[in-house]
Amino acid sequence: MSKGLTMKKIIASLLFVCALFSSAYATSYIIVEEGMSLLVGKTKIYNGTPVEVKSQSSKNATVIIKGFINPLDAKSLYATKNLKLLLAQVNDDSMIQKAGDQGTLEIEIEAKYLVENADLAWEKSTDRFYEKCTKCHAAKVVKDHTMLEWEGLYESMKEFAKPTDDDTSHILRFLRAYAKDGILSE
Amino acid sequence: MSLSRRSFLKGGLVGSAAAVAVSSNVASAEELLADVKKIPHASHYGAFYAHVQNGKIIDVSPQESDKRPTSLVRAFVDRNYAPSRIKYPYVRKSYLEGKENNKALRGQEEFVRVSWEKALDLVASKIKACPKENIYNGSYGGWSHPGTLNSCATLTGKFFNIAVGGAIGTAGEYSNGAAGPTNPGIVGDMEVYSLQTAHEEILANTEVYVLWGTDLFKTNKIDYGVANHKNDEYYIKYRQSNIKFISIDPIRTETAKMLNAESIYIRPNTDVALMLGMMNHLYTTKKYDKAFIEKYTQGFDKFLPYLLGKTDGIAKTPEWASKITEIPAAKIKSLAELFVSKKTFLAGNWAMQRAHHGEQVDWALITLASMMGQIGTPGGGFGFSMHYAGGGQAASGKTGIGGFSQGRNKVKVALPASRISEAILNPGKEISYKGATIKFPQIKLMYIAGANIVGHHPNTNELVKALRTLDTFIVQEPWWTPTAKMADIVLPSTTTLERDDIGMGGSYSGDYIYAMKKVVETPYEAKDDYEIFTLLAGKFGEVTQKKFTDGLSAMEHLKKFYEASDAAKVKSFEEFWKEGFAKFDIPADAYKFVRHSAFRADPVKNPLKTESGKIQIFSEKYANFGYSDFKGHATWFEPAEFLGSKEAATYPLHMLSPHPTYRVHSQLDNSWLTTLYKVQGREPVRINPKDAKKYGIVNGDVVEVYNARGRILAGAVVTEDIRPGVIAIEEGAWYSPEDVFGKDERCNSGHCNVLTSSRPSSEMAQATTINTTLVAIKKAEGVQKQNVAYVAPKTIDA
Repeated sequence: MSKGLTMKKIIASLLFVCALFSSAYATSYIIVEEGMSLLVGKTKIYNGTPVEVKSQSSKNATVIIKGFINPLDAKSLYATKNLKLLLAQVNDDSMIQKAGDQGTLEIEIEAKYLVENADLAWEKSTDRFYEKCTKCHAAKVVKDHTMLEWEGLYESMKEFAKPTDDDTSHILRFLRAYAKDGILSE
Repeated sequence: MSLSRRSFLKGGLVGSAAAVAVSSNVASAEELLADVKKIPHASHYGAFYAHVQNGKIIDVSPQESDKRPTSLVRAFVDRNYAPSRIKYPYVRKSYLEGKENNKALRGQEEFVRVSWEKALDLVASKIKACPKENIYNGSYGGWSHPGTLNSCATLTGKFFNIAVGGAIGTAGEYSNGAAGPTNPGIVGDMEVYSLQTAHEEILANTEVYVLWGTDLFKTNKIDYGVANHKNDEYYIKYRQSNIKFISIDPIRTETAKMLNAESIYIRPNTDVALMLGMMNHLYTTKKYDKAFIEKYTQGFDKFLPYLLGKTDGIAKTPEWASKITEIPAAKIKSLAELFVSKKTFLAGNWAMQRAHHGEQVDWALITLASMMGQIGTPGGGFGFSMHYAGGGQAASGKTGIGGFSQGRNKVKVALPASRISEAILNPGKEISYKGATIKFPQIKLMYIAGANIVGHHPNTNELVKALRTLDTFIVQEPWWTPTAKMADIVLPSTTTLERDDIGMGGSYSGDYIYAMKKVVETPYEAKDDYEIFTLLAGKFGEVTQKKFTDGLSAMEHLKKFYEASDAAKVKSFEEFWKEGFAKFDIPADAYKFVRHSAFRADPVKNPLKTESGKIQIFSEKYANFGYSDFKGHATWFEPAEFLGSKEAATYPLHMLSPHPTYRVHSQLDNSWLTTLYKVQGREPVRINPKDAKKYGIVNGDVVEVYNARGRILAGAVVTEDIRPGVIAIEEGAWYSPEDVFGKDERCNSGHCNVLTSSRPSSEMAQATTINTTLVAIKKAEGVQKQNVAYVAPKTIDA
């Protein structure tokens, strides 16, 4: 290993430790191998959801999920104000601490469901998008369109892509996450 | 009735396949003793069996999925043996020699044959030496063939993304460059590709069917996937129905004739004015559907002042529209009243929006349809894709075959189609695009596989000038297209008949998967597109190559693609490959599909993907872009050149360039089929007898069509089927300058894009405006050299 690389690792570790002791918690992402979501008791947390790691042991982690609340459905947390990208659903809405149109859910999960790299967490959905949507033409730049625009574009093209329902769930979640008004950048 | 071979084929039908010989392969007596194998294959023109004897195709016969086979399949097969095939890898002479200032010689000098190894080494070294931000992937679209394994556009994208991290791409498209990006904001969907109301619903409910610039019969001959020509069976029923057909078109199309349509010969590019005139009449006479407007649309109140002339002082009355469109005001009023009194379907098209301010036309038509109030009803409303890929056919709803993922492109610059010349010639220039700004990158290297930019791009002389500034231009093609002739490095690819692949069709019905089996060996050194990119990936290292192939063989990929489909649940890949196709049943409900019916039934539960969930007659988002040439509602903008503009004094004819009758764009222009319709070896130009007389032209003359952008030679076809003041030259003739060393020489082939403008539609979509073109015409003067468009360039093969 080169000296440069070692130094970079040390700096990265220091930054990570500093982040842990700062007022803001480190951000990680939920990663689920099978299906679209993780079930913790009766709480469903969707793949790719960004979480703040409040504490973590080798086995478990207490995480905070922040999001927006649908006034008609206080049991769901969404990534953005337009309520298009679902992050988590609880059985009992008292689990979500509310502040205006936003809410916070604190929950303990197994640490194995956390990953620091957002792209890695979203890889499954990302791959599905590129597999279904670039077999005939090049992909549009995802950041060039809003979630709503992507929904319209997807409606236009799905007859040709002939996706399964599972494909559609993955593709729309990916597009919403990385859209102009999404939470991530490619 | 006797039918000559010529008229038989011109009708577009092949009723008895064995009656017509394919190509010039005449079997000798001894050859007759050999077995004839029938090998399944598929194309944009239909699925067929190639009859192969002694390694040669001697005939073709249609597969059962092709309901009305056309002569295009025979041209497709014939093209395999065309003299314009690229036989070996080549490098342009002075480029190979590394001479300075050799760029200007593109398209003008001989090519030197090289080995595959040398060609691929050269290509790889050029790509490695060029930053990915300066590489333009010009493998536009997927029209080269319907095969998934060798899809040129997909493979090029996949290769660049894996090998170097990406390349500059294309945003939008030529076909629907204006409407495609605009319609989602208006109706929540591009609409131009959406599933259309089923023919059954049209036949059962429609009373008036408006062919608004659309030529159903002609354009449905081909498909982005594999054509099935099922629509032709419906058109017979259309003709036998009580539906009144009205064609609003400067051309009397074959469809209009077949359906006995009333023709309204509108001035080109003035359809928005006609629609506004109708809307004004419906509003002022209170004959519009107020309830629909209130329940299903947003922003009518912001559009109304414009319609009534309160914002600009010009009321968009039928009388106002009449002056622009040259359709009598009384006719405009009676059409509007007919549309609201009968169940009316407005079948739009794509050609109208390939014009200056082309964004407006679909928006205006959707607004008119909203005022008519029939959107979402069986047989009423509008559709923009009845003319495309079997539009109106019921969909199987089944999951189709898989394909390659291109992966992520790290170069986040995509140029709007039609801006390529401008971008190459103006690096660093900034343009508006859909509310944002694009800065043109510097393009140094262009790679094109299976596409013909010197065919589909406007203003050919400007494009040629741009191509002569590149550092490197690589083309991968089976034929010496005008684009290949402009290249530095030419890689010969096989035709689909020379390799195995898999495809689907029709695009809407989605009911067949086809084994596109290898029919014959390539007689040349051509390689499959998949193999070429695999070898090229190998030049970037073993890991790159493995990532490109996923460690699978071509046949393993085909199996994987097939097994991703629902067909694999009932038929194994091995059975499918042996039989040549797999078929899905169409569910009964699919024949009852009515576009927008869910939205109409419950607009709250089934909102459109728009700002309000309703049809945006006014869009706040679009208004906020602040463009002077694109407003918040449908607007009439006078085109930069049309029959009503002052430029018409110099160039008095409006040239339209419709989709070709006997080609897919430029494909098949190098086949024997052209001998049936070309005039003295040149693309026909349709001209009205009044104009022909005015300019001293008679049927069959070679004429020069010209404007400030260029000059072409075409063959006159004098016909009443086109409006006076308008000429039509179908797009796709292979560009062929009379003198390759000259400047802005006449195109001896009749390639319409020599005359078209690269002016963008607006700041919104920056789309092509090829149908906004004024020209003049005269009988050709001077020496008329032989058209060598389909002849290979001079090569040094030793």
